[in-house]
Amino acid sequence: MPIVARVLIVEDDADVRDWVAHCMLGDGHEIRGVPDRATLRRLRAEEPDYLPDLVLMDYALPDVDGVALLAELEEGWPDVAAVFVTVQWTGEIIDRIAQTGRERIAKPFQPDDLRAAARRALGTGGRQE
Amino acid sequence: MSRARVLDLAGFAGYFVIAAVLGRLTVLDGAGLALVWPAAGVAAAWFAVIGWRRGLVVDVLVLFACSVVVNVLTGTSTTLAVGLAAGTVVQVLLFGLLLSRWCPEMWGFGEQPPPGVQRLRDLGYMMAAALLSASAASLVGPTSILFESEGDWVSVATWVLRNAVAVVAIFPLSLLARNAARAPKGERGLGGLGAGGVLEATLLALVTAGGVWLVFLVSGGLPLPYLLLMTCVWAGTRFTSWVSDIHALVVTGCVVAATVLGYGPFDDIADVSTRELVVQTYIALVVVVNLVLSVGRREGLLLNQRLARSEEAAAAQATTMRTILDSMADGVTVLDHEGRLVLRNPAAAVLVGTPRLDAEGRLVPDPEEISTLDGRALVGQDGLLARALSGEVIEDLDLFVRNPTVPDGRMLQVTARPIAGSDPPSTVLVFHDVTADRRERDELASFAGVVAHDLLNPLTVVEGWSEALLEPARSGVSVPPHLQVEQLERIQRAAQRMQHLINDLLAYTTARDLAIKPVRVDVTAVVEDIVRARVDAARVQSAPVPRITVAPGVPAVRAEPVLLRQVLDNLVGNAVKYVAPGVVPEVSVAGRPCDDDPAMVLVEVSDNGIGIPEEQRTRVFDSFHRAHRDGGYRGTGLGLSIVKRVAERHGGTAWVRGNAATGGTTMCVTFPAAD
Repeated sequence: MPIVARVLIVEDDADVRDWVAHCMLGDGHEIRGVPDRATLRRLRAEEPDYLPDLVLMDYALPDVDGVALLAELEEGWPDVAAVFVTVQWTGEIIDRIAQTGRERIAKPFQPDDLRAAARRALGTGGRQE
Repeated sequence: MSRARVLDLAGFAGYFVIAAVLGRLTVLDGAGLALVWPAAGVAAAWFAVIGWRRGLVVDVLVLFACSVVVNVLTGTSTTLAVGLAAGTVVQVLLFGLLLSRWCPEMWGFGEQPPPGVQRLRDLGYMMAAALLSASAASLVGPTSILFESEGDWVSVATWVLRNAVAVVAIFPLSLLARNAARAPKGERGLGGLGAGGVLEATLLALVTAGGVWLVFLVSGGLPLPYLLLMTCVWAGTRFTSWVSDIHALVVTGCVVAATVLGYGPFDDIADVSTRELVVQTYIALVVVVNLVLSVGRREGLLLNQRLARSEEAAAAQATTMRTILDSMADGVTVLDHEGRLVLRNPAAAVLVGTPRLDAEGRLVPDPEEISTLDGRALVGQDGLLARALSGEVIEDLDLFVRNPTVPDGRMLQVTARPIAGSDPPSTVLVFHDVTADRRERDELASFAGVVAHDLLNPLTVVEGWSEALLEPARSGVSVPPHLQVEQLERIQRAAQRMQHLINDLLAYTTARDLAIKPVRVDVTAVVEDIVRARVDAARVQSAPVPRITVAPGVPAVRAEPVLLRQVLDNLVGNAVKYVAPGVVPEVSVAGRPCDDDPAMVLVEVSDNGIGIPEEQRTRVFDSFHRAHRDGGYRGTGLGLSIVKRVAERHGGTAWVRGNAATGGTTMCVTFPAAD
């Protein structure tokens, strides 16, 4: 049985964001999406009670990078489960992502891979053992 | 035996016989031995050529026979003749034995004779060999005869001295003669007369003749022979070995001739044996003075030549080094152990700027001018100079240099190392400009990033949404048409984005590589054409139609039309694109001759857009830089770098300034004027 969860997608490309959402919808999750940090901050300010179970995070965001944004999120949402959904980037960025302990799914991805990663993240609190 | 060998043998035997006959002519009245024995010198010269080779026994036999025959024919008893001949043979063989041990190049040289005696050391060995061989030989021939005849010890000593002096006088000259005969033309080495030339040589001959006349003909028995020694000193110090050796032989000949004929002070010595010994001693002195001085002079000259050559080579090498240093692109600086500038090439001045020196000429490090690539100042013990002067070897250290001479800053790769063996210890620093390399590397990294991001994201969209369309189609589920349209539009948009990126990449390459064939281009006409296309495109997309105006009187430029159009299209395109949502783009294009250079035309494209933050105004021209990544403005970040690259390839440039009237931007670009 899939775990029904609140999923937040952080992705600046609307068509990609919608596609990620489309993949996750089948599991019955409650899904929200934001394109950048500014919108995310606004969301948290407007809905202080909102607490996602899983963040699907792009790396190259217009106003911040995904690793920095995740660190910012963890201040309010400690140990939030997260999966990075990114293009193959430089080794340096891959290392930064690896240091967060979160799984990384490379775009383009198979929907099943994304869903499996999401389930793993939800099961372990997002951190890989 | 070859014909040449026979000829050689016959030649040497002939010389020997002539020398022996001449020698026998110098037998004084009442004496058994000749006064001089040049044949001993000829024999040494003969055997030195052939050396220790097979067939030597033939030469030995010929030498022995010639010696016996000449002596017997000139009135010597057969027993004495055989003894003297044996002595001659033993002397020449012993001389060879010693000389081939001490100065191997002077024995058995065949067709490669050395150019005379070249060093005082060799002369010393040669004289010692001559004296020792004559002394030893005297035990074989003359001494044994002494016991059978009525000779005395003085005549044995005379024999030794006579035969030794003959070798010393003739052997070096024979080397010179054979060398001169065998040496290739133009390689005579120390040929010629010497310092004074013909005039001084003539003077030497006259003075020597005068001396001989004075000493032997008019001195009236006064012991003046030492006067002739002065001419020997003259000949030895001022002339080549040739002249000096011949001078020695001439003086010897005169002394012998005068004495034999009964002239001069030596003739007054009553006892024949004593007279012979004194004359021999005198001849020995003449020969030795001439030889020692001339060989010494020659050695000095050779040393001077070598010194001059090495000085020339050093000077040439210094010139070569200087030329290399001056023409190389890397900066080279040499500092002494206290940090004083020893050497600096022009490239160092260009790369690092004019150095600041303190009162004592030491280089003053400025931490504000040199920093690490991440901007950390290098101070104290971390300073480049401090590290280099401490003797540390620094390899490929990347530094950033910015100073009044290099206001834009440069990335330099620095290598520093102590110069081995320098005293006082000095350090060489080499600066390699890596600004372009690093920029290219950064561009490449940005390129990879842009390609990764801008191609893989739309690719994700294409793959994902086509999957979303395929899945229900495969399972026969019908999807409402408006959903299908929406998904197909996503795919189409993504494909267009990829196409834009690829077009821009191609334009970027074209801007760099396309051969420029400049022609006169009417800027106004090009802009009007671009405007028409933009307006049409906006109408098709139902977007707000931009208002684009071209000021009258834009001068024509000389440019490659394809690239100029690309530049103007990028500038107008940016001006239209980067406006706040809902604002109708207003763009004006103007042009005029540049204020500071009338040969260039300044084209300005002003907009009412969102503007470019002050701090980004130089970086917008970097490849793949995007000033407005947020805010939903799509782009590859290549447009302005194409603009700048094309302008620079035409000898112009591009920059940006704020547009105070509208809050937007004015892009400026210069191209050569057409007229």
